Amino acid sequence: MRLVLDVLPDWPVKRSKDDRMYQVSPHTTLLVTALTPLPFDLRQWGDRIVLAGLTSPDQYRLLRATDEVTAAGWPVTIFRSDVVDPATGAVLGRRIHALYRFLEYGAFAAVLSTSPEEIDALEPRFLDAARRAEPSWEDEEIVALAQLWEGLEVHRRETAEPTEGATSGDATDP
Amino acid sequence: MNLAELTSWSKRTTATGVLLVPPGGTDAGMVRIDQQVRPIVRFRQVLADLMAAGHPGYTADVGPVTVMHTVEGEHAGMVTLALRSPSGARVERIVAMIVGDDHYALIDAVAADAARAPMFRDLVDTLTRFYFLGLGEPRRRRVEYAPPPGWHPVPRPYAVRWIHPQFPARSGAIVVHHARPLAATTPDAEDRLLFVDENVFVERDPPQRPAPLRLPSGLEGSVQRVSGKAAQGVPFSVARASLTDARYLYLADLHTRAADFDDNAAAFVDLIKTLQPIPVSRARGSAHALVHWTE
Repeated sequence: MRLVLDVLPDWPVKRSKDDRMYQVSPHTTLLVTALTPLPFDLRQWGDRIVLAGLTSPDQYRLLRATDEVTAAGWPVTIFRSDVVDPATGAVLGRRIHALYRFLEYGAFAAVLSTSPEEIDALEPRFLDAARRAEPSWEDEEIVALAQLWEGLEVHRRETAEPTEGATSGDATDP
Repeated sequence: MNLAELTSWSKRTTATGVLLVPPGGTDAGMVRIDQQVRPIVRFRQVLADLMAAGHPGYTADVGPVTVMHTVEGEHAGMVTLALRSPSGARVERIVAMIVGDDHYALIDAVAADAARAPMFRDLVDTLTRFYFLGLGEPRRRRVEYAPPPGWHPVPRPYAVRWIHPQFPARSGAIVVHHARPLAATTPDAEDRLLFVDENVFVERDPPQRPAPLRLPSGLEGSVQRVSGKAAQGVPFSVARASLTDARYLYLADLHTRAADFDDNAAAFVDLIKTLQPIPVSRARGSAHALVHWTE
């Protein structure tokens, strides 16, 4: 199960399990994650995502946080932030995170860059895609028996009474 | 095939099961059995993975899957793959999957000698039907049914919630619970209280009379609609289908805004009609069942 977000087809993609990381430019990456069970503490979940990769919360400067709903009606919170040098306040990078809540599951898309200008240029396109993103509930693991034989021609065999023949040597197939 | 014939085969234990080799060696073929394979994936995926690993570059003519219940009453499927190498060599591969609750057993036979392919097919068929998962019965188990077309499955422990294709803009969720042993116990009651019986209402209307239900599959019971107001005062309805056979209780719920009830009820009823009873185990003890292996 994963988040589905429109991306440009020429962005090189690197997959790690169900997460996908796209190289938008040498300075900018886009991360689109799998769906994972949401923890009880959503604030902590959000903090862990937006602070990922930083050595200290002092490096994080929130520019804007907005609660929205996607085109399909799913709740999404969008964070725009800068990575700063705590000593000088210099901007070292810029990020936009979109955190989704799909029932008991969560996922996020994030565009991260060491170039604030690139993020600013990419922002309209990213936000447009983020607002149209949807969950894909498809998974490799089945959730229903009907999925077992999907895509294959099926012949159902009526259950027959077993004979002892298969194990005793004195009879044949039922 | 009579399993006693396997006494003349060699049996090698592997990390995940056994490897069976007929007299004369692997030139004729072999059978590999893997136990406790996780996760349970589509059989189509199993076949694709086997082909990629064992016969890359081969073309495969995939036969129909024979879907059956094992003697233990577990779900299983078996298929024959007719493989052809780029040089034209032909190999037959017979693959079976016996499905437990959270793992499956895989039987994979390669018949390199066409003349012996029927024997391998027969062997895999027998091994499959008599396969021992040993999970016992009765136990909490997945139910077989036809999912509502277009609805999305959201997994939960011991249940699946199917949400409407336009959810959440459009309401509607059908929860199909695993079947549970009919004989109610205190642990069963605790489980139902914790995980099965949801109360979404802040204000509940008087209950409606349950409507009797009898399915072609033999399951019988009733469906009852409860309405009221959910959070934020939204008019809401829950319908519960409660069906039984002699051994199991089958529960399925529809959760929907009252305004969407009629449309969603149609999908709910269609699903309910397809519920199948849990297969019956026909396993019985037999002193003749002991097979002595020669290594």
